[in-house]
Amino acid sequence: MATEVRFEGVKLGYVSEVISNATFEAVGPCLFVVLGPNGSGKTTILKSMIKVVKPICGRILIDGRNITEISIGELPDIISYAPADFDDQMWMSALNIIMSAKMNGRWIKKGEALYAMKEMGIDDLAYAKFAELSTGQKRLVVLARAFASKAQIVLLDEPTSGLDMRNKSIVKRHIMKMSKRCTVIAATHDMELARDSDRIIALVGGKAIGAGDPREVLTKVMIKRIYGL
Amino acid sequence: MTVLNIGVVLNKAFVFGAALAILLVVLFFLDISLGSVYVPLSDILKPRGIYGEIIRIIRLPQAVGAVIIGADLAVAGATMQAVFRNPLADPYITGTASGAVLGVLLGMVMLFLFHIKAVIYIEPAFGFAGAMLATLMVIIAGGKNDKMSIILAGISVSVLFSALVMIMDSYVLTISPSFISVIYALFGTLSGLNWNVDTIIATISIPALAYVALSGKRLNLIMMSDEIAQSSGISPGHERLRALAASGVLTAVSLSFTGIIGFVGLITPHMVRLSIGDADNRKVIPLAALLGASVLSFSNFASKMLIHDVAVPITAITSLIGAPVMIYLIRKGRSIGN
Repeated sequence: MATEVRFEGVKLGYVSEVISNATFEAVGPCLFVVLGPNGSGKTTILKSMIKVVKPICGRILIDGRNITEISIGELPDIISYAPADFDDQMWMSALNIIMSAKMNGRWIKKGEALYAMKEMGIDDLAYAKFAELSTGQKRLVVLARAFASKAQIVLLDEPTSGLDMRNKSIVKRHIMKMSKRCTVIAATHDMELARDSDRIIALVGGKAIGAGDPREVLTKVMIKRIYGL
Repeated sequence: MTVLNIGVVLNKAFVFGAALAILLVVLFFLDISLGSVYVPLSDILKPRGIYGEIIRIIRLPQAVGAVIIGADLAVAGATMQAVFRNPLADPYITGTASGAVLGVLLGMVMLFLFHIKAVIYIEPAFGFAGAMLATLMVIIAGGKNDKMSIILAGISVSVLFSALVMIMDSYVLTISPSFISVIYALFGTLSGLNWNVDTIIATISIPALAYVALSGKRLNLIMMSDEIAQSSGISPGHERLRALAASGVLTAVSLSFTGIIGFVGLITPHMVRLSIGDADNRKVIPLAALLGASVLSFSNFASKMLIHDVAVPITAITSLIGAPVMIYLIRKGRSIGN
């Protein structure tokens, strides 16, 4: 299912401006990477697509529809979101976290959640407490939740950070697989993931300093500019 | 195959729930039976004569009230823990209970001073207003992101409202020493319950309990992260407001006729999570309701039995149970956070 996300001159911010004049489009199926160092506004861009941050000016269009016309109730039919991490001080089991996702307008069933975990190779963690998992395991649970929802647009915040080689390759394999059938938008500072993507936008301090095919954008000069080396 | 099926049905939550239900029935009958006058079981089942009167007028309305109020407090606590994403939240600690008590007292005193014939619905309404005011103050003062500041703000607001309650109590008791019911607001007791009060408590509690019980899935999302909730179609702000209003209603209606009963809302959800090894609110909320009802039923007859012919405040009993359980949970670590 091809879905198109388009940012037209979008300015985002909380108290002060975080993103100035972002213009790009992600036409699915694809892997679109928002690349930038910490604090460059990557997460803010993802949050604007789930209406947590509202554009100060400009438009965010999803399949031609302005996001302001899309209700929060409609979001899970279109988008699934995997945050970098979240803090659970209660005793949520990994299975429950995945079962709190929606698919085709209804909550995911236990069997479907277990299947999604098995796909990710983490079915043995189903009844483990999320709070007691390692960073890598948490990441896999959060990703399994996003993938299980079968939404057309999948937003991933730092999907590969804090993972060891093995888990990183599992996660990357799943991201690649997902990007064949939907629009995956990943915010990351992982250069490897950026290189394997279809399109990137490179952010520094809230400004886009390059956009397009990663092979063309990611020159040595550009990488130095992105990471301030 | 049969063994497998039984294994699936008999999961931890189900077993725990069934055990709690049986326990609650036993405690309910003990609560009716025990007190300054012992009523044998045979007379509870076939009430007549003086035992019949005791049961009909005193014991049964108190026992029924204990069940509903226990469930109310436990569910209010479980809801607040989810809403604030904070294992230390409960109506007592977040100031909601003190706000409710101040509201109730204000209602009582106004009715008294202006010689309005007591309208029994006024007290919960004032209590709800006080509860919401206190909760709002705590949210504004403590923000919603930092776990510790919410608790500290809650303690501050609690202390502030308790001070106002004390001032008002002393004033009222000085000008009218016979107006003893203002004292009840300071320590919880179920002795003020009768069928009229029970009817009001039940009428207001049951819809609020049902609302929260059916919100389990949405509260799970709120408990995880605002972003996850919103991307799953749940507006975190609206959901929080509705859940807080429901727990405010539950707190206010319980405390309106009993005064502050501490610890039930704080510990019962943790005891449930620890027992079933899960924090799914669809399970935690109904089970906490059952456990809360059991704890309050037990506390009620314990408060009648502890010292012969002396009615000890029920909040003393819940605290005697609550404090060691709380310490155990802290020692145990995980469930009370890090």
